[in-house]
Amino acid sequence: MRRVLLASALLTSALTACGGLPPPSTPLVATSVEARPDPPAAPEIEPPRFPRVSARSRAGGTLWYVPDAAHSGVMIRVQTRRGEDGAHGRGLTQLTAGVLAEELEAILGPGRALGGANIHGAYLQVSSRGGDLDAAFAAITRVLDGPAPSAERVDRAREVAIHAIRQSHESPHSGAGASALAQLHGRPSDLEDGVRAWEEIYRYFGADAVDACRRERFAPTDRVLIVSGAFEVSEVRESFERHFASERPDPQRLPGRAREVTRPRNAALSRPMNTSQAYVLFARPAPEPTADDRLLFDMIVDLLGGTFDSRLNGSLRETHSYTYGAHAFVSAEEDSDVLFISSAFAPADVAGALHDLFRQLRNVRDRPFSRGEIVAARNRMWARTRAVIESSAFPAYLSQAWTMGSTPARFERELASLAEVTPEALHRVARRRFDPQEGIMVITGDFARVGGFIVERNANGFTLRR
Amino acid sequence: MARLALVLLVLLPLSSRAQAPDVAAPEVAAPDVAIPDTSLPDAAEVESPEEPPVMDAPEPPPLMLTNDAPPSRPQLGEAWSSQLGNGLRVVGRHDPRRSTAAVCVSYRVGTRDDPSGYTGLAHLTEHMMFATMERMPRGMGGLLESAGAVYVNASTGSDETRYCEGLPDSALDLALFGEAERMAYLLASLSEAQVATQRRVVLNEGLERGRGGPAERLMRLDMEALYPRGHVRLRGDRSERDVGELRLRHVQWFHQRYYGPGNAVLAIVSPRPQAEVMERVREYFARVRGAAPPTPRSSESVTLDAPVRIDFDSRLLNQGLRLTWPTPRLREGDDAALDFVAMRLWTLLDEELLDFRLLSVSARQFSARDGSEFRIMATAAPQVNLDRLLVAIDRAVARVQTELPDAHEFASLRATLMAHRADDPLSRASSLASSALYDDAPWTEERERARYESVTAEDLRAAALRHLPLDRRIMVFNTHDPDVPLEGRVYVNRGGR
Repeated sequence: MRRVLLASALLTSALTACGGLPPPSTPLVATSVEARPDPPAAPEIEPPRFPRVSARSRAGGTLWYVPDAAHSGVMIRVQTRRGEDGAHGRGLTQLTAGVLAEELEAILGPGRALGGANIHGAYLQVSSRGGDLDAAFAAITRVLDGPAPSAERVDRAREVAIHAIRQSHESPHSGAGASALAQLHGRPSDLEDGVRAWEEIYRYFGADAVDACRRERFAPTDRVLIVSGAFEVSEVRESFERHFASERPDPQRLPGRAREVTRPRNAALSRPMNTSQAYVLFARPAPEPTADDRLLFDMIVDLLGGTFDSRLNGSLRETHSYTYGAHAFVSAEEDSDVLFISSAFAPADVAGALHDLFRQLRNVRDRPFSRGEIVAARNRMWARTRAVIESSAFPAYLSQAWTMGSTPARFERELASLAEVTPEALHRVARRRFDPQEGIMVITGDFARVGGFIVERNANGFTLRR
Repeated sequence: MARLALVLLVLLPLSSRAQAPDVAAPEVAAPDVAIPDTSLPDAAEVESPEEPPVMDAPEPPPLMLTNDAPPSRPQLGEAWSSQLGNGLRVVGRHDPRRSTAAVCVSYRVGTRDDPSGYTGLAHLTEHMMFATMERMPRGMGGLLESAGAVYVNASTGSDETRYCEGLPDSALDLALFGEAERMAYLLASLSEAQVATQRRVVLNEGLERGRGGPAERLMRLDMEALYPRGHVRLRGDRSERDVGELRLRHVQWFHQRYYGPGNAVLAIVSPRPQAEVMERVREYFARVRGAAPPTPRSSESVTLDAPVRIDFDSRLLNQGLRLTWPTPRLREGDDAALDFVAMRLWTLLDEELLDFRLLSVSARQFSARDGSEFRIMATAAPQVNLDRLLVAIDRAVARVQTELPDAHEFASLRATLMAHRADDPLSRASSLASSALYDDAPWTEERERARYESVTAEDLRAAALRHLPLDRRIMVFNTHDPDVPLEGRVYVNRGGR
């Protein structure tokens, strides 16, 4: 047997060296097909059940906690209901959250904290392991209520942010997103104008502005600490009492400014760039998280482009091989929640790929999703939520209940209601929420290779004309 | 009385005990309550003791009153390992605390096994594993995603190709069926047309990932300077320039050679106990046949005896520095101590480099079976002087080599290192599969913890001194130049600064 293997190896090497692989062995499949087990039946997936979430409030904020011994660490999320709502200069709340996360890392160690903000609120997130929960609470109260962040740190964060904005505008992916968002919100969608506008805004964000934003956005009456993971209840309670019970200033809240989402003026924007692929992005506003049909909208997005097996990937990737992948997802941005659909194509494929993409977008309204598709999407949404509940991402998920003024129990009931979704109900949401007039395409690439064409938009959807 | 109180305590449901205000925080008058269902949980409502808990918390398991010991909670089981008669190694972990499961199959094959003139074959074969088959008419993705899988994917590394699924435990059988089916029968159903489709998808993936572009080249420069040509630590040729020429017969040859059960590890993390999991595994995998596994390759250790400076001018918008040292392999010598060094250095770099307004800076020990590298990476805006930046970085390195962290800082470093370890089923299964492929004792958090607990502050300093000499390292200076060719320009100076 050894001799046979050696001969086989030598033959392989020789053939490889000569520039050809040996043919595959016969039979191609060595395993007999007789008596092989039947494919198992698809399992019944149950709606997720949420664990008990306990709460207490003190002068320094509200605490929600969920002990879960399945984790080897603890995740702490500080969430506010005030984010980029226009009360401060655009981007200041994001910058402030980023600075506070850096301050937390300076105390607790690198890679331990992150921060950000969107239209729904601002957040900080800290991971704790190895018994330093109290130290993490102490660090959080210090960065929220202690001395102002240093001017050096704020200056550095501002410069980094400006550079990141410039870089993101020059990237074919995120630049397309920025242009689309600008059109949806009535701002200049030109690259240079956009960058200059941001630079102008950021110029005034100094240490004082960040400190004022910190105190107002993260005010005790509007912040919740959501703690989940492996901890003793007594430990988290005692730490919360130690660090968040005492009185502290609670500044008056600044009113947010209403922001309008406008119908984009253009059907499509072209962004000429010297890239090897062309990037196509579609954007349109998504319903508010509290909207009655948001969950069904999310289901449509999942079916359209949220998975390997989605309509977009089935067509653009598996049937036509135009792309490595197409993605549909909803993202909470500064001004609203936005549905993005994005993909990248070889320049020669752009026209064919756009035809197909437009057809799939029209099909959302014209070709109702089948009962089988709906059951698959519902299974995924239930399983995904269950996986999140059991993961360290649970505090981030729960924070949506805080920002929406909802509760975990209500989330649970809404998810369970997906059992009753019919193709007709989903189709009604698709017709209402996929109005092509509210969407915009951005096409980025080397148009000398892509070729010229015109994208038109009417009540029936997008079309491409050479 | 104390005994009576204890019995009463045990009789209370677990969740009620957890909420009892006098168990641990007697100084707090108001009990915490479950978040109310009907309205915003602001301070007034939450503090109200009348507020009814409306969460439908799952019923706790019945408690046994057989002794005074506290009731046991479900615990993460020990890692287990088994092997089928066909050579398939099966490793797993029983996690009764969760309802989700994860399955990973790792094959001991990667881009380094692409035959000369067939670059991209390992990657293309990975793609073909998702093809539709007679009994999986929507492929592995469609099969599992419709059953609630939250993750179905694969990756091709230099020495390993890994397929992983995260899914409800009730779908475990489906995942095992699918993995066995494509291991055993894929070749019976593949067509030239399917290969042609995935060939184009792989080419598109390469474009999307910037294969052959300056960012990828930058990441390879230090590795190419450190390791001799052909070393297994050098990733395979990711240019995949031969993909366009690959055909069905090549995929068939590759699959036959490397995708047998004797060349694979199946890892499963599930709420089911080992015996039950193994029964399911045998049902689907025991009859799969495959050839003898190819002989594993070994790798040589490398050292540097002089500094190497590489200047890379590219169109990349950012500039930066990459400093690289060869270090001990995964779980050998000072590998764990170098994780501490990286963590400490990262903190000190943040202090030392504040004035440089860096876009990012990090220090990390990249541990691998075939050789490790310690790397400091700094990304800077175009106006930053890189030579000055290097001096500042070296100041931070010197501090790690000379200053001992105090007990508090050292404890914090250890906590941070442990905080970075993922503990979800998918991460566990992925680590188990990967480690068991080349190691008799699969990876566990307990092993990780033991490694870190054995390191002292003095070990940290000694490791920094021993492994990060300033006169024996690779320094890559990446400078922005919009006028160079797309692939960039490289100047190598061995032995000088």
